[in-house]
Amino acid sequence: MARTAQQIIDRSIQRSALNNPDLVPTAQLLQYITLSERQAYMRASRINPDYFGKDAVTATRAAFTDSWDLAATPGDVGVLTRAEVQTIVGSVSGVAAGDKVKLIGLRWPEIDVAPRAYVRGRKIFVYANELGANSSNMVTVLKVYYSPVPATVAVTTQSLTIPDEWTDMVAVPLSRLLAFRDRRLDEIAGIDEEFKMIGQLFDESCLAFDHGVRRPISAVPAVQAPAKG
Amino acid sequence: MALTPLNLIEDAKLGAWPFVRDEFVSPGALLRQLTSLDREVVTLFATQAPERISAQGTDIPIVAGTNGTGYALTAAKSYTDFRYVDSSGIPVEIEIASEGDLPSKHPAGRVVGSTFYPIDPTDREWSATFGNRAFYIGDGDKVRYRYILEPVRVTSMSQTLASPDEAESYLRESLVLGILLASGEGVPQERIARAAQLVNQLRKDLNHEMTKRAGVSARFGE
Repeated sequence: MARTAQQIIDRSIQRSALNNPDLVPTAQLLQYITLSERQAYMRASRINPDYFGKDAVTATRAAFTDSWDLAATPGDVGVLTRAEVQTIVGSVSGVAAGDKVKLIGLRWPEIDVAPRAYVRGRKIFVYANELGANSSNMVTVLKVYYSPVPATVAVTTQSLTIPDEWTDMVAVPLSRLLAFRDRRLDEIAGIDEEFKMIGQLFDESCLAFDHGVRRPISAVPAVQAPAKG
Repeated sequence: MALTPLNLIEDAKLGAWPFVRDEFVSPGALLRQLTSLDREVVTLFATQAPERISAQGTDIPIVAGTNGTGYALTAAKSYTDFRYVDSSGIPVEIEIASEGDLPSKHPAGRVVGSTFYPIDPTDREWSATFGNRAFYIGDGDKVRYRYILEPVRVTSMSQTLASPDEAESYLRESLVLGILLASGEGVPQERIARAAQLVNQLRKDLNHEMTKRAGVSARFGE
């Protein structure tokens, strides 16, 4: 069961008898919860975008010159990892539903082969009409795989997106804020140290949770071998 | 079986396993590497075993008045096996003379660019006022030849390469080396050295085997 924002706030307050929630307005606390939760998701996506990985379909584009706006649909894309053809209207030479769309940098499209697309401003643009050259024969919908960013936490009754086991990734920064607001600077070093340890555990979980996946050396979780001795 | 970039690149990625850095491996770059390799292999065959990859050209009917201006050939990388076929259908080998040299026998001709110039057996530069010739008469005779195309650029994964099947190992291992080199510092130097060694060996093997396809016999007892 996911925790609500109020439960996180309560938990942060309970961490020290000196915490005074009245020092920080609730709206600010909610913004900090949103920020911390998103930071945790972005941290996970840098290490292993599959850890919180999701997939969704884009909106249906109307013309072959249109792009797909990821900020609108699916909306919660933090790191885009893969795109596939979902729906085709008419037919497109050499393209079938399920085909991978190669994501390229616009500055160097030759690095991959058709069908290609590039990402700019959170939109996917087709390169050189390789997903259809007219609006009667084109790819209309893509399926995208991505690491998400959680939705804004707007009210205290709202549930967080982050799994329960990682609520400390949100609660601890919040308790740091309360300590900082109350000028209890001597506590902050301890909170920072605790957050560092929680962060390390979080990183290791991101790396190791799919340890059974067969993958190249470059993507093998960096789990340290036992020290000799 | 025809060699396609898709199969070769997928096989090469597995060959380079587990040192493949997918984010560094560019299919576009590998296709360009395959373009060079395909041309290299075709050049090897063209110089040593042209019959393996040459195609039959369309017979060129001889027209007496055209002998001086030559006959257009199919544009190609190289030409082989020119034959003069007389009106009775009997083929005779045409000696191809280098530019500036005289042929040692007739029928003879020169290839300049993509044009075949028959050499006048009477050495009169095809002067119409000089009597009859023994070759290139224009009575139903023709020139027959074979040619080898320059491989086209490899631009798609499904394209068929010009290289014959036996070049597969050499092409694949060359791509493995390319992938390992592209994958950067995480690849042990020993692995790269072994891959480079294997590529050299396979190139030698290909060179050796391409001429031994037919007429191979046992060497026991020699």
